[in-house]
Amino acid sequence: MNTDRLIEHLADGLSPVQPLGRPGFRAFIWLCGALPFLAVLALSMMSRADVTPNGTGLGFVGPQVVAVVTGILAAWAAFRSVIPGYSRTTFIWPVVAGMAWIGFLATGTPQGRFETTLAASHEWMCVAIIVLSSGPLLAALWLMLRRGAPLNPGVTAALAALAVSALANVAACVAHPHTNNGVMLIWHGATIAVLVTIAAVTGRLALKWDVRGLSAPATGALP
Amino acid sequence: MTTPLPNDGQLGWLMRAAQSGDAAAYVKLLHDLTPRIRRIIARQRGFVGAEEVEDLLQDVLLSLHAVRATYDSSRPFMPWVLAIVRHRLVDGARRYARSSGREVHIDDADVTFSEPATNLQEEEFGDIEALHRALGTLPEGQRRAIELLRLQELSLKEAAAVSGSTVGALKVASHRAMAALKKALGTKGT
Repeated sequence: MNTDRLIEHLADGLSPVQPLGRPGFRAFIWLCGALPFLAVLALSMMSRADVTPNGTGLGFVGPQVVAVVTGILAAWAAFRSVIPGYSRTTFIWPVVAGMAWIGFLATGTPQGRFETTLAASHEWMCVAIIVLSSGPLLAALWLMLRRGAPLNPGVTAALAALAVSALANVAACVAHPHTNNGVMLIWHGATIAVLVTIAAVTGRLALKWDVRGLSAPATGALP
Repeated sequence: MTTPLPNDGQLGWLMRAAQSGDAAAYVKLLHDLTPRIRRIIARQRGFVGAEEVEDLLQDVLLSLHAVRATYDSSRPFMPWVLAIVRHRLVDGARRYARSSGREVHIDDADVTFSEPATNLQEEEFGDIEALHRALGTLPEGQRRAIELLRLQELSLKEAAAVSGSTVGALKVASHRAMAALKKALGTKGT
């Protein structure tokens, strides 16, 4: 098909479009739905007696705050990643926050109790909470992200998974007792890493350029 | 004298108009952008032929159209376009690498033997200009039938919908047109 004819064809079928909001605003909209959802989920599973071992000190609250910041930054970066023309340095911030979260948990991990940490089989419940609560949040995020341009689908999907799982991890931390930060680091960290990896690998399948129905209306015209 | 290229602000204004549904502004925008994008592609993909450059250009235009809602009028326009071009070129290179890994390009092979006696159908391309002239001599209904069914390769049902005619009438018009063209061009067979 001739390029001039393609332009005519695109203009013929032109319909008005609502420009997407700023990435920060869209992230805010998503968080307005995600945070209450996770809060309700955590509160519905929490019993005050169970979560007493968590404490309220910096050792427990600090990593949760950093995890929330990681989730917010990752959502913001994911929304920026589908808008052409933005700098890719944005992607670094959630990674930095994630590293800070790991560092926070690692410094709060008691030495010499690695086996106990690994054997904390009740943590499967936390894994289930993170995975299951991530589903609807990720679906909502995906619906919003697919309206953008899939410039780096793997990166976008990984950021989306990081946003969702970091926040879901906080809900799991708050809802269940954790004897030490090492448990959270190993079990929650591994769950988040697996989800982010799966998203990064499958992102290209989930976020594609949607140019179906836009191409040549008819071919073979005489020159 | 050549027309000066519009600046970023003017292009951004045209895109805003296109987002509101202004088709004329959109055509102007795409016509203004096309030579620039073609130059960028030709420069970055110097090893591909003009036809592939055109394919990549059309791919970029389709992508740009698909994500036109992502343009934020408060931001510069050309970085938005260039980001799309850059990513689509990378995608194109990836597609090319994948397909070249499992495809072997060979010269056109004869289906039977190359001797004319072994081939029942005449496969030579005729004179396009003569075909144009012959088409011009056809009555309007027959010419329309040929355009829809043979050139645009629509199905009878689609062609009937487009032309407002019936399937039967189109069949008759197409048959008569083909007969007239064969006569005019002096070809044999079907």
